[in-house]
Amino acid sequence: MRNEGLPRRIAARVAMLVCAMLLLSVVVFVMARLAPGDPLQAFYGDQLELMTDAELAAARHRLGLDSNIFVQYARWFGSALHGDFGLSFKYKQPVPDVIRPLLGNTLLLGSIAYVLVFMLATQLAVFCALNEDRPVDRIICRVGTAIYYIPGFWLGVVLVLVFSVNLGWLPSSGAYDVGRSGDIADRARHLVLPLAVMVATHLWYYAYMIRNKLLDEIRRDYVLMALSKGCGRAEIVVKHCLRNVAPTIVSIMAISIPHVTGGTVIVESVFNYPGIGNLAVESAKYHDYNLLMVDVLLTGFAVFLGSFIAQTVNEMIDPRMRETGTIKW
Amino acid sequence: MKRLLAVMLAMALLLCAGALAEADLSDLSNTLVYAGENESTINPLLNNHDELPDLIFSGLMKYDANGKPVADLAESYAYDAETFTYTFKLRQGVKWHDGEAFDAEDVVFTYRELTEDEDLSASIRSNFKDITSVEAPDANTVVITLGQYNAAMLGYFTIGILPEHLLEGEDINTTPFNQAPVGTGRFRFVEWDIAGGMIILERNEDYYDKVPNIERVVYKTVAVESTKAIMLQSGEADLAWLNANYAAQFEDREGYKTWVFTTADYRGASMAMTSGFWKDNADSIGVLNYAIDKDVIVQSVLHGEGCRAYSPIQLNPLGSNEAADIYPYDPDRFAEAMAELGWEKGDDGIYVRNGQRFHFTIQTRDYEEERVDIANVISSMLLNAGVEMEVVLVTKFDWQAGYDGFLAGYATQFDPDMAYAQFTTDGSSNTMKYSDPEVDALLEEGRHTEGDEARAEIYGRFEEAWAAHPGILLAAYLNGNYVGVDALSGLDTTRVLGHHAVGVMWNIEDWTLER
Amino acid sequence: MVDVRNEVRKPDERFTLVGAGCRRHVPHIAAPGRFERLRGLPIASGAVLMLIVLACALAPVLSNCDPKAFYYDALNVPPNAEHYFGTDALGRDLFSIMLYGGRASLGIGVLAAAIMAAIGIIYGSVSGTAGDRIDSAMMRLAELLGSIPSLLIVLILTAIFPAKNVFSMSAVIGVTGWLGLARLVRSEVRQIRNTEYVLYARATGGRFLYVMRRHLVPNFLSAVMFVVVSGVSSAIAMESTLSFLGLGLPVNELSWGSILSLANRALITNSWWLIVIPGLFLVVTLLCITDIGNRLRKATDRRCSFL
Repeated sequence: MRNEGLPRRIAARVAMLVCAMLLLSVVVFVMARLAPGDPLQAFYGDQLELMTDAELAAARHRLGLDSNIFVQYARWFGSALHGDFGLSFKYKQPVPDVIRPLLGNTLLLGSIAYVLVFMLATQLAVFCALNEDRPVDRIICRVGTAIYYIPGFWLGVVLVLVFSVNLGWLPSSGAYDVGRSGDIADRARHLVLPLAVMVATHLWYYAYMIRNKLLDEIRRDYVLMALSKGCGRAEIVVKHCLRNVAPTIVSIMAISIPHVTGGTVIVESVFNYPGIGNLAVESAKYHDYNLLMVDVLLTGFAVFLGSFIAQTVNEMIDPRMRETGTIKW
Repeated sequence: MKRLLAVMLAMALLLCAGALAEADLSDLSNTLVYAGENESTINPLLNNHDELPDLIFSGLMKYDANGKPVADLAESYAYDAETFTYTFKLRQGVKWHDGEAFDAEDVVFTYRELTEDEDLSASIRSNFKDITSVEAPDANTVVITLGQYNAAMLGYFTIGILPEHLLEGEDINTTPFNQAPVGTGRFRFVEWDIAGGMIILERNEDYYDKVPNIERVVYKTVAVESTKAIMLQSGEADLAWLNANYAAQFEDREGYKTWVFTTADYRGASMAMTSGFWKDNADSIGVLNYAIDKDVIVQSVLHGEGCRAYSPIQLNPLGSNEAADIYPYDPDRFAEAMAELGWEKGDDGIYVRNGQRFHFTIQTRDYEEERVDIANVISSMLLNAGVEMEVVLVTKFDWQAGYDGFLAGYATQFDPDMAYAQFTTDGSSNTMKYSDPEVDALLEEGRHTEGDEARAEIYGRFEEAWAAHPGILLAAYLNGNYVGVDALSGLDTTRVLGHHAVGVMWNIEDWTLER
Repeated sequence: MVDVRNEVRKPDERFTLVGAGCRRHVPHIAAPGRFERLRGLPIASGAVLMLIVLACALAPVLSNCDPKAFYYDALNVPPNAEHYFGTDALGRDLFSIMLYGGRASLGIGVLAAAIMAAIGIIYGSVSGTAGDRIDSAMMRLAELLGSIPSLLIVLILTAIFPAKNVFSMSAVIGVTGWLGLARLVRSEVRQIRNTEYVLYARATGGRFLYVMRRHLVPNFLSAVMFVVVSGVSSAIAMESTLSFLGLGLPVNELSWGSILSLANRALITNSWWLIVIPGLFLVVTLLCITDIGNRLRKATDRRCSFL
């Protein structure tokens, strides 16, 4: 049963993932094509206004924008299967060529932020749980909520005002200085402010969730048992409670991926950090459909992959998840 | 769980490390970091409006300090007025940045593209449509024949020449060459570092003329005006074009220099003559000038960095006929003139004529702060006078949506013939369908007349004729404010710059960085 | 809220106490004091929020300047007696902009939350009451939509259907923000629907809407209210974020978001008031709303901690 189950479950999930990606691509495609405004604007810029109707028709034909939407999608899908995601209208080069160099930047920012947020959130949650209802816990709760509600872009602007403009300690924009792309220290300097914003705007949301889970956990009977055996409070929380809460944390981590990804979009725009979040905003503004499509699909893929990994990890941590995970579809 | 996190982090780092191709950039003391615009392609045929193609490519001619075309890749040229034929003798021994030899075939290839490639956009091709043939009798000679005399043609010959050996058979619009250009110009393209948001150029040591003092130019693709200013302030950039508001912040700051260029770049509300409202009321565009205190616009929006505008070729060497400045700021005269035109104020304080309220819409691009500000200020001034100008902010101009006009910016910095395409009835960039028989005749005459004096007189008359029936509610001319670090010197403000203060690098070979 | 301690317990009238030396024992419990009654209610945040809302509502009375006018003689001045919050680089009065802009921002917050609540509650109730198959299909769909960062959806939507006014802006934000609520409602509904009283209502012929109105909604109201109220604040925050990204209301349409989007302009001119004042307004408003929302949430019924 166990051995049969695993490949089937994986197959089912992969199928689900493929379906989801398909659906996502259809949705984005249709929405983008229904939009008013001319994608040729991205291609020709202001010169568009000077083109004759015949020239416009020819350009549309060349870019495959003249047929109806289903044919367009079918064509896009056909070539996407061969790894051809079309041309970015704005950059006039294949979409993967535009995205590839920026992917690393965003992954770096996103994953460090992600790891930081959850490491700090867990630690903060344990600390709060150990000090439940003491003044320090209350203060952290208050301050945490306050910081969480500060809009990320505004915090970014304020940090730039303080640390770049007035103090001049940290760079205000970019991923690295001229010719320093391999210099880890330089990259780190450029990441300090973006990461600060990412952590500030996400930390408390998750810390609070984990804290509440932990508070429920420390009311279980085994805690009393462990306490009566003479285990230390911190030891109980870290060794026992945290372990029991782990599957929940992993699930939270999985569903948090869209949240964190959304955060990178804002942070990248504030700090002019070259990445795919910034690119998504730009391609949405300029109706660069092909680019937008791949950008959204990539994000969606990351999310699905995340929940996929989370489920698998949870099964590893807690075999009971296996049964519940497969009941209903 | 921590192990998992660590693995993920390591993966991300690895992915980044994959993208680390390095140019040797250990010594940056002689490197100019320029905070520039967002770029997508570098090709003189596609981007006739940017700094980079000008650095990497060179043309048969180039503009000198006064905006006059002089020989560049051509050693000399001869013009035969009988047959409208230009014969260019090319420089010998010029090499492309990839080491290949440059010859007449490259020129022929480029001009064939310009005249025959249907996929190129019209605005650039229309400049060259008088060309009837391009021939290369030998490797160092190019003969270009025109169908008729065109006073501005010599200026259009400044367009950068493309290498035939790399582009033969390629689609100019989409070729990868656009992201890795090879030219004959002063700087050589090295790397487009998308992940770092910069384009790296190095000086062309084999350049046929003066080799630049500055070893390397790093062009950062920033685009956001405030970010450019902050980069300058935090030492991340050495030079940037800033709007007047930001530039004012650097005026007395230690360690910075400001260069104020005159630009032929005006801002104004350009009216769409095809719109229903202006079809009926085109006679009432000029009077609006009385209601706008342009000096206040210059003082507030532009911080004094500019001047009031009355003619579209006001800052052109052949323009600036003050007799065309017929609309001073005068609310009383505005009221009189409106009454003469038959407008009466309605109950809501807005003028009405024949049952039509004086209300029109102007679309404005939202990311150019100065345009938005100018539009808003004009709108509030007009509202005080009893005219409703509604400002609609768009990211891209939408020509189908039926707005009554747009907040235009345009520059006629070189030959005044640049106005031909814009204001003649069927001109190729006359998007607003402006039409006036007198203007048509004068622009036609100016194009086909020889001699600066005679032409200046014709263009003066054009300015007067245009002012009588303007198509654009002109507001102001902008100064081009470049702010840079103290170490930088050599920028020459003699040159009148173009739209968006483009052209600052015209003498970059003379710039020096001392630090 | 019924607090057992505060109820004055009186002996039952039907019985008479008899017996030697019997004295009637009247427990002396003071009526709850004014402060005690108010304890636990979000007074401070309520008051501050009231103040802000009132100020925005009374904008025409309170503001001493025209929010759309340009004061050319007072460009970029810090807060002073005439311009209480200072002016921006074009001489627009920040104080009156804040008041008028607040109307748009708060309006968008409430409207978007209402749209969100309507969609979320209906979707969640349908999914929760429907059969397993439909339920799981609906939840898959929600999951799918949830996989795209909501910011990205809003981004696509606003880029495609440019938000020209408060209503379209609210619609875009509301349409993308209901997923969490739907999930919550569904799980509450699924819990409740197995209870006997719902079974009884169904058995005696109560239709879906009736059951929903009489049994489901009242039961999950408190949990849902919390989400809806925080929806108001997240909608306000979203509006300002979109404005910052250049996808919000047009700059000449006054809202807190459109003012805040000018904050990075003010950076270089070091005009701190243009950054700090709108930011503070926004954060304080969000915090007040959240605080009020928190009180609506059922107090978690935790046992004593073992630790």
